[in-house]
Amino acid sequence: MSLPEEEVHMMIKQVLDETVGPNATYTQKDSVVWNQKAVENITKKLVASGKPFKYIVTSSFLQLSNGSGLHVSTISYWNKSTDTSYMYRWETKTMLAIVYVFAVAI
Amino acid sequence: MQNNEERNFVLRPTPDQKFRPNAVLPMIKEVVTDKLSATTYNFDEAEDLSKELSSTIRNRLKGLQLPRYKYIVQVYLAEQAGQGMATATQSVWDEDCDSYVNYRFTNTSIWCQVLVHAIFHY
Repeated sequence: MSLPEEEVHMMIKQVLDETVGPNATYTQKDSVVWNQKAVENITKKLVASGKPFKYIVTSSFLQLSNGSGLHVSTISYWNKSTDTSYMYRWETKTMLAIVYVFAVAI
Repeated sequence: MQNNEERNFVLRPTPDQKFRPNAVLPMIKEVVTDKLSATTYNFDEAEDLSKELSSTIRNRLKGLQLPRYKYIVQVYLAEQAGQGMATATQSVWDEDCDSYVNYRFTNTSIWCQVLVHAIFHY
């Protein structure tokens, strides 16, 4: 019923490779634009798969320059058997992208 | 109008059972400021700290007694080291009843962002 994890990971990877590309370097201005594009395209792909879910897509770009860490913790209150979360981590030399997708059954 | 708990199938929350971002924001603010205002960043504790924050916020959300809402709480916790960070979120959902809250907290060494999504379950 729910989307397979690999499929969602593939979608996210594809979108990020297309919008950002593995050789891009981080700039504040670009990251905002990439973020918006990435989130939009991922949402489009999710909707195109035609499953009866509400989707929430969150993507974060972090600059990797001075060795700072980032912790993300997510916790949900929902129906474990119908609702799913997906996390994908995408990295280049200068940045880290963390994409969360939540699919909540209608 | 009857309470939602007594009905089997609902399309809209009653006005007093609606998730209101502006009412929830002060609660998140309080939880985060309580935990973080006197803390300095420590890599070993950061993981536990972020987990603790998210579960506290979730428990407080449960305490709101909005029976038909599902919640997703995301806590981003990082060291304040001059690095850049951008977050974007987009949702496909029912604008009328679903909602989200965003809160960002910084002190001299910690940077923290809390994102709460509330989804109405019909």
